[in-house]
Amino acid sequence: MSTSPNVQAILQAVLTATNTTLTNNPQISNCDFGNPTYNGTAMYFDPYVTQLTAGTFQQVQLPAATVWGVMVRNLHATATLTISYTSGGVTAEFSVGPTGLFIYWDVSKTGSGITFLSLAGPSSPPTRVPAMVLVVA
Amino acid sequence: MANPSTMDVIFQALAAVTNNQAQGAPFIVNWDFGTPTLAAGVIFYDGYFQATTSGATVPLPEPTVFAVFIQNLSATLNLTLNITPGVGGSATTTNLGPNGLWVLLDPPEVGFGVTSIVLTGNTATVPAMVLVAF
Repeated sequence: MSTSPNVQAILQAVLTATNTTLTNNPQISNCDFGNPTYNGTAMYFDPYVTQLTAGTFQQVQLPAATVWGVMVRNLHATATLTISYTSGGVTAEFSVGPTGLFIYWDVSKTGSGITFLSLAGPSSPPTRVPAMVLVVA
Repeated sequence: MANPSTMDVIFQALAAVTNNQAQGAPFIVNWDFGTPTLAAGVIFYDGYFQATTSGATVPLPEPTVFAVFIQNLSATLNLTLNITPGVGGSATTTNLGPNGLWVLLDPPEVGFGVTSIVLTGNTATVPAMVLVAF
């Protein structure tokens, strides 16, 4: 039985672009990310975090002071989700609509990492936006 | 008016986590992203973008893009990302190690989007996979 690392988080992903103006929608690019695998010591996973209303950011409890694996997905049918994170001392804010996602995945753990993560639903109209969140330290 | 949709940008992904402390390292997370797809009008793709030490600007095909995929392809060097979102957002300056990945995908294109991307190699030019779409 393996004891180290405690957990392994594997991102199996392929990104494909197709030309929908041609018969059979041929692929025009196909990128295999190569299953980047994160050897982690701790993780936080919540498949249905319900965010606060009125644009109030809700902090995600990170399992360590710095994490290098973060995935967030907006599960709401119509509303946007704003993602705020601090990396390298700089706090950034991005937002995604329904089904949108954000990934920060640094398996070598040599980059800046993320030290703070919070999420918010829109303030107008105030909406509780559920999200799927995976964080690996 | 936005460009008519002429392409689909399809992200097929699963995230799985195994517990190596238990016999057989069972899966404790198995997350299917559900193949989010952005119907795009324009796209920029470079499978081996050269991020120089002075900073290389990614040529966005529209002022605001809603699909951004960046992967550091260097075996040893870090890649610095300077990414600016649209109105309402705040820019990120972050750093990714080898194989590191930064993704923002907004299929309905209703979020802030991204208006600028500059990639900088640390100590030497760093190759990166870059795909952006609107």
